[in-house]
Amino acid sequence: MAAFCRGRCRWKRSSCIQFIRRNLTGPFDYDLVVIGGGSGGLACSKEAAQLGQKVAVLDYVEPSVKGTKWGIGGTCVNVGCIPKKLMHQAALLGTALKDAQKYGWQVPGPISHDWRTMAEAVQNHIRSLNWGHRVQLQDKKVTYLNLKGSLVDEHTVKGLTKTGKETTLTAKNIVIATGGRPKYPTHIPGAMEHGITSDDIFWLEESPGKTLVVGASYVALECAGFLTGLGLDTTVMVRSVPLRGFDQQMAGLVTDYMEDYGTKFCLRTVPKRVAKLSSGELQVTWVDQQTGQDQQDTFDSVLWAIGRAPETKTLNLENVGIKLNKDSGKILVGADESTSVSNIYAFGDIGEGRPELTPTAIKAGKLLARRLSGQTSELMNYDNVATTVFTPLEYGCVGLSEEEAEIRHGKDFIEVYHAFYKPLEFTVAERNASSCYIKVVCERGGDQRILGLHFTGPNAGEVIQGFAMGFRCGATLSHLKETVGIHPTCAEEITKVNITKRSGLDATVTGC
Amino acid sequence: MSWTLWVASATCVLAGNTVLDLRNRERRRRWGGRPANSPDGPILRNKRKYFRNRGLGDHYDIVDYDGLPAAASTPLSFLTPKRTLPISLSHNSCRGVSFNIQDHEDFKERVIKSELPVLIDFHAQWCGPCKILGPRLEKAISKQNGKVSMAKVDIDDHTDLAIEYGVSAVPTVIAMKGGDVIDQFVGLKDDDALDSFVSKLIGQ
Repeated sequence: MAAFCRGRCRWKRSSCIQFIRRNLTGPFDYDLVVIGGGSGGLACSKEAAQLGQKVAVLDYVEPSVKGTKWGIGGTCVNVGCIPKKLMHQAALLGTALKDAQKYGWQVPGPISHDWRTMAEAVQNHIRSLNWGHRVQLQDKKVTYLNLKGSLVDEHTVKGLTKTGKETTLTAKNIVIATGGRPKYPTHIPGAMEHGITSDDIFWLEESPGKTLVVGASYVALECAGFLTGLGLDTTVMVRSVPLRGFDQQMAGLVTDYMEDYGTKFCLRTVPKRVAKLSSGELQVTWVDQQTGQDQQDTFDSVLWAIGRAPETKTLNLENVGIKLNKDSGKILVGADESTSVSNIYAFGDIGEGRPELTPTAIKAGKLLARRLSGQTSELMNYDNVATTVFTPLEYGCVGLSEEEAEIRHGKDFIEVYHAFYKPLEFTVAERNASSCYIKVVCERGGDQRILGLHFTGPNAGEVIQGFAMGFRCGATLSHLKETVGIHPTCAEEITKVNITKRSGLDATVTGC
Repeated sequence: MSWTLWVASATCVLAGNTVLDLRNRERRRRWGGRPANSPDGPILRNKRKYFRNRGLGDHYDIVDYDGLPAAASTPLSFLTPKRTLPISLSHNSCRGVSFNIQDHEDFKERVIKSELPVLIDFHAQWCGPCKILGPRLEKAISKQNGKVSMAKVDIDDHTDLAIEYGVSAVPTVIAMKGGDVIDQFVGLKDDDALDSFVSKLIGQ
């Protein structure tokens, strides 16, 4: 009798609990499913979970053509910003060791670099970051699923394990943050079989040796930069202009410094064919677009850095009704990261017209999570985002390039202040400072609001970060002139600009 | 005042033990370790050893038990033990061993179902202190002459297992007996602290 009563009460209690739980998430398994566990996806899912939503994040890394794969964290953590900056630092330390001798350090013998030691240290750090992300997801109660996600309909996501086993999840809202992967030039014979991309370079166990870097984007120049710094014979093959989209005068200074540093440049050339020789080396044939002549050389590695393609092919987006840009293949998004399907959102590298940067993806993800939870209606502001190219001589900028400012405001309505300066550290080290340059583009009349700030020099990222805040506050030239510089630094030279381009005077900074 | 403090600390210990108990029960449900008071579960208040056929063909295990009824449901044949000793028998033999966990099944067999107390060393390739603690742990368990074994879990290879056991920082060392978590610590410990940690595990 007692057992019977106990059983009946238990049934009532459990059905009551089920009723409450079902109403909390509605008819769906989750409030939010995020496809993509990169910078954007993780930030969005953690923020949403903190605001009380039931969240799942699907992350899956399709191995590269060469078979490289990695853990959670996306491009930035595994094959982007983090390993790039660490290897850039390794290269800078090599240069510093050479400078050290001028400063009195008794550095014995010729200095050589061991790729394996550096690669292992970098890869171990990346693994610690992968682990850190897993722990954070666990702490913030986000369900992590190592599945390749695709859309079934506007509320259903299908996940596939690497063995092909299927799982289906339903969600009230879906966010796509799958990012992009490097492109291969499929029309060039031998490109896929013998070349590598940025997905592979940071995970190589052995040194890439004599390398040909094809491309002139920041990925290409940064990779070529640190490879040269590590002592490897590096050539960059440029089709038209370096750093397209950036200020071209600054891009020229960056490549000038790299040439002086030891990187070889093949300008206006396009590769035709890559063949593997019996020695294991790669023979690359290219055409010089000016002369039309074919040329050849052998390399140990060929690194393709010709652009990135969005990861949308396997998501089944068209069948669900999500519109893509026909040329780029990226998802068309509104100002609030919405797509053409009302409860599906997309942001980060996958969004059309968005900067391909980690901090913007993180911020956009957090704001999206807050909007979906009803906490705010604030939209992400993508304008005037500061960025830095980590070439051997770093280039940091915020705001408009000179060309863009001329287009938007007219050449007569802008004033460009500039200066060639020499970092103090370069003096004793007897280093070439001819590419160290500052440019402040501002309006010509009124308050002379600053439209763009450009800086090449050591630690450009650290320098520009502070000025980016001033930019956000609407800094004008008088604000800049009123700011007292810190001495002796490179950054203070920005506060001291007074020569305009228009005047035609020599912009070299003299004395103290 | 001190009496209040005593009550408060006793409550905390009890609460902590209850939480640990609940977590252990949950783990047993998931991993299939046997509850302490089940008639065919291994209880380490060691009374008798006998060979027990676990329905795995020729394989036999040494099992400690307590209170098993004379007419046991599982066939006892210690009068005619099988010729070949199973791999699991050699693991639970006199030498204390340390071994690397291969997969979930391996963990279940060699750790959860181990009769010996087990130290689980959660470590990572990228963790400096783990490389220092590893040899210290080996030294500490070798001093115990086979009374304790050690399972080494690389958290990059077995991330789900590490997360399951609430590992957030490495090195994390968990002391387990009969499928239950008895104690744990995070970070480096010196040799003396490790010796007392291991002794406490065996002594209980």
